[in-house]
Amino acid sequence: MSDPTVLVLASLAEGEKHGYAMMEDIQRFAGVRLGPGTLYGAITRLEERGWIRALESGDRRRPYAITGAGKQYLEEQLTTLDQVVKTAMRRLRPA
Amino acid sequence: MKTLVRWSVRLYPAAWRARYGAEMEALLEDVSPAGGDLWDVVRGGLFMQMANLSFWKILTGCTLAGVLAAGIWSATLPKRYVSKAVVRVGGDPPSLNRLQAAQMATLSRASLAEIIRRPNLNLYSSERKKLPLDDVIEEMRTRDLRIRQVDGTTLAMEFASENPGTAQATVRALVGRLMELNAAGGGAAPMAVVRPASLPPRPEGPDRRRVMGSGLGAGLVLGLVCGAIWSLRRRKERWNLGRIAGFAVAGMALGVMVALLIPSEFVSTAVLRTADGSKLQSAVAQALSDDSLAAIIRQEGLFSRELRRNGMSEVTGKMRSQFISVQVAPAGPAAALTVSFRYSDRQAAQRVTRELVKRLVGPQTGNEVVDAASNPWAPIYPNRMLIAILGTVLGILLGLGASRFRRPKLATA
Repeated sequence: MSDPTVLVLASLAEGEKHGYAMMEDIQRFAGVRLGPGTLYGAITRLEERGWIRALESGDRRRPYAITGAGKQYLEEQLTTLDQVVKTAMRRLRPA
Repeated sequence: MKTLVRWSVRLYPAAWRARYGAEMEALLEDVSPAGGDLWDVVRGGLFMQMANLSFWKILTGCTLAGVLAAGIWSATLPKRYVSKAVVRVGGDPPSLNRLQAAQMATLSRASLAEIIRRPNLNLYSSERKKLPLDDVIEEMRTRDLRIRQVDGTTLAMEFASENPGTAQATVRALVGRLMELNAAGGGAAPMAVVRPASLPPRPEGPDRRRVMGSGLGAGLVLGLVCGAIWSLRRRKERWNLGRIAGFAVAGMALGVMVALLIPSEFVSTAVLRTADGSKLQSAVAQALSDDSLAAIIRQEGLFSRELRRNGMSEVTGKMRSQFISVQVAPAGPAAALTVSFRYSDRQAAQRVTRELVKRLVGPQTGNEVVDAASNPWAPIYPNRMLIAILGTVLGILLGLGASRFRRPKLATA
C-alpha cells in the first residue's frame, strides 16, 4: 500500500492535519516516508477532486480536512484492499 | 541541500506556487531535506508542469528545443572549404561535345576511385573504413563535388572538404584528369585553365542559419503535432482516442501491406565511352533491336507473365521503351553513354545491363566500358517507409474524422 492519495486520506481520516503532521503520521502508521513533492502532488490532486479541503489558518502551515466524498472514496478503496488482503491470507494459509 | 531543495520549488508552475508555495516552504523548514527529497521535489515540479501544459506551451517548447538542438548540432558540423577552378574550351561545338564526354568520364566510378585513393589526397579515409567504395564515390558525387557548365564554352569545377589544402589539391587532380581524358584518343578540344584551383581562405559552410531554420521548422511541426495530440487528450469527451489510434494502426497496416505487395525495382547502370560517335547510333539501334532484346529475354527468362498475354514483339517494344534507358551525351565525334536496365530482380537487372553492354562494345564499334554494370543493392522503387507513413497519416486523419463526426448515441429510456 503505497498510493500517496490513499495514505493522505487515511491520515486525514483521524482529523485535520497540516503537511508536516501528515508526513509524520504516514511514516508512523504505514512505514512510508512521503517526500515533499509526492505529498503536495497528492494534496493538489485530492483537493482538485474535492476529497479534501483546506481550512482557514493564519499560519503558513495550512491544515487540511477530509470531505464526505473523500471518506466515501477511502472506504471504497479500503474495502477493495480488505478483499485482496483476506483472499491473499486465505490462500497463504489453506484450511 | 535545504537551499537547493527550496530553489527547486521554482520548477512548479507559478499558479501552483501562488496556491501551495508558502505551505511547501513551511514544510521544507520543518523537515531536513536529503538528496532523495531534492529529486522528489524536482520530479513533482516537472509532473505539475506537464499537468498544466497547454497547446501554446508545447508549441513554444518544441520550437525552442528544435532551434536549440539545431544550434548544438550545427556547432558540431565540420567546416567546409570549397576550392574552385574554371576551364574553358575553344573550337567549334563538336569540341564542346568532346569536353562533355571527358566530363562524364571524369565523374565515372573508376576515375573518382583513383583520385580518392591517391596517397597525397587520401580522401574519405574514415568513410572508406565503414562503407564500400561505391557508396563513398556516390557521396563524393552528390555531396562534395560539382562540375557545371557555366556557358557553352566554360566549365566550373568545385570540391568541398574540411581541409582547404585537400580541397585545392582535389580540384587540381580533377582538372588534370579532365585534361588527360580530353586529350586521350586524339582530336582533343583546345582546353585552357582560366582559373586554377583556388585555396579557399575561409569556410563556406555549414550554413548555420539554414540549419537553425530547419530546426525551427522541425520544432514547429513537432510542436503542432504534439500540441494537437495533447489538446485532443485533454478533451477526450469530444475525441475518441481509441478510435483514432485504431484507424492509425489500420492505416499503417494497410500501408505496409500495399508496400509489400508492390514489387521492388532495381536499376543497374553502366557507362561507356566512344571515340567515334558516328557509329554509336547504329550500335545502339542494333543492341536494342527486336531480335537482340528477344534473345536476351529468352536467355534470362524475363517478362514471363507479359509473354503469356502478349507476343514477343510487344514485350520487346515495352522493354525498350519502359525498362531500358540509353542516354548519349553528347552526339558528335566523341561521346559517352549510360545504359540502364530496370527490373524486379536485382541480379537479372545487372545481367541484362551486362548483356546490353556486351552488344554495344566491340572492335567494330570503337566503344569501351568506363563503368561496368553496377550491382544494385537497394531498390529504387517503392519507398516502403514513405508508403507506411502515408498510410498512418491517412489513418489518423480518418480516425479524427470518424471520431469528430460520429453519430451521437440515442438516449435510452
